[in-house]
Amino acid sequence: MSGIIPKFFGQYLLEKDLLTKDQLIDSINYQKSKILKLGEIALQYEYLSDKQIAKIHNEQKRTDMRFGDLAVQMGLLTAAQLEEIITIQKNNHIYLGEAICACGHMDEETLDRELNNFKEEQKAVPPIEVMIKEDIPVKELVEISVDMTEKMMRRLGDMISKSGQIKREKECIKNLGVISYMEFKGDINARYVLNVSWDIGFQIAKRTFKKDDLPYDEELIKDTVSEYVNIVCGNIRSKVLETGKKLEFQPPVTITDKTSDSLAVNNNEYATVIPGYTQIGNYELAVVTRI
Amino acid sequence: MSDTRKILIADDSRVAAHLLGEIIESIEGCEIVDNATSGEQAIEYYDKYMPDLVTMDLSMPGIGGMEAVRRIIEKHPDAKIVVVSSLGGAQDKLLEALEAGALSVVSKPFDEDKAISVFKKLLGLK
Repeated sequence: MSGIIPKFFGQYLLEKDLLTKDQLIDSINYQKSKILKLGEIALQYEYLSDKQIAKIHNEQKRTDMRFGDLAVQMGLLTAAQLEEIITIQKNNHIYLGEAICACGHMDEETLDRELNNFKEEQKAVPPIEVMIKEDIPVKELVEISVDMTEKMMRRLGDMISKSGQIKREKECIKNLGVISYMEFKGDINARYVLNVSWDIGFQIAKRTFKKDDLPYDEELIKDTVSEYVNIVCGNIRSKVLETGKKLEFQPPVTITDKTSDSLAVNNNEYATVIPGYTQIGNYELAVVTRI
Repeated sequence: MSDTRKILIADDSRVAAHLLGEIIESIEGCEIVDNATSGEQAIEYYDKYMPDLVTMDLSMPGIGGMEAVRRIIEKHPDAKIVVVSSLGGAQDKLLEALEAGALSVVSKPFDEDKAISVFKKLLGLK
């Protein structure tokens, strides 16, 4: 049982040997070709003219902004029009399964059967169970982060983890032993920070290596925490992608209290800190974002 | 001629390499030849060992795993590369890796049975 990891239908078919790699690439490209471009929709609804679309494309060469955002910035579309166009685009996409059939790589009967099997398998992926009442920035990301961190503490560290009261840290996050963080960029710009004691890091290492008598090795603990954050953030990204938002991340950066006793929080940042409690010790999870 | 399949692990994390190593060594007839810790080293070790399979982490120092896949495939079109990714079910990254020449993807945290099944299939083992 895969447990935590959500996957997309194509990966399932590939793993089950029901589709070849080339058939999957072919189907995804077909699916992509059927997505109406924002400009095409805007033209169809007469929100933009050909000339205006060309002007936006031209401007895009000089910036790294997306078509819709740029159109709004240039005053050619209103935010409401952009939202309407994006909704139309989302409602008109075709599913991967439809693309696979359209390309002739699977018949509809097999598709229906495998879709049902896939849905059954994905039921094993637990939903996000954390609800935060407080009004905080990037709340959805914080909820997913807390949920994933707790679940991974259980699964990878064999620890029961409970979260405490949310607080805002304005100056710095004091290093409990090992801090590992990753930067998210895209529709959400934020930093996921995990701050654990050496004891918790050592516990995760022992469970990871399946050795209760694992020699105490700080470099190994640092590497384990870093890998742990890498895995947690990969799963956070998957969950965020399910909501339709795009998210990229950089490899983790890890510091220990031997080299740095804290991680600074800048004046223009909002650090939401959630303490976590386990039978081994305490940790802190933080999501830092610009305000 | 030996029937042992040579596997190269390309992952800069000692932890991830260890976990993958345990899975691979549980498959009869598989031997890990080395552990590359950067994209450049993965290319160098491929030439050195000519492995039957490479597991490639995407987030590695230097040119990274995705570029290493491209360059290995460019030189050795028959290379068997499985991308190891903590990116979850990200269709865009999976597509990019497959188009670069990878044959499959294994997700972190590892599902041992699925990973073994993918490795065995690509190595032609039962």
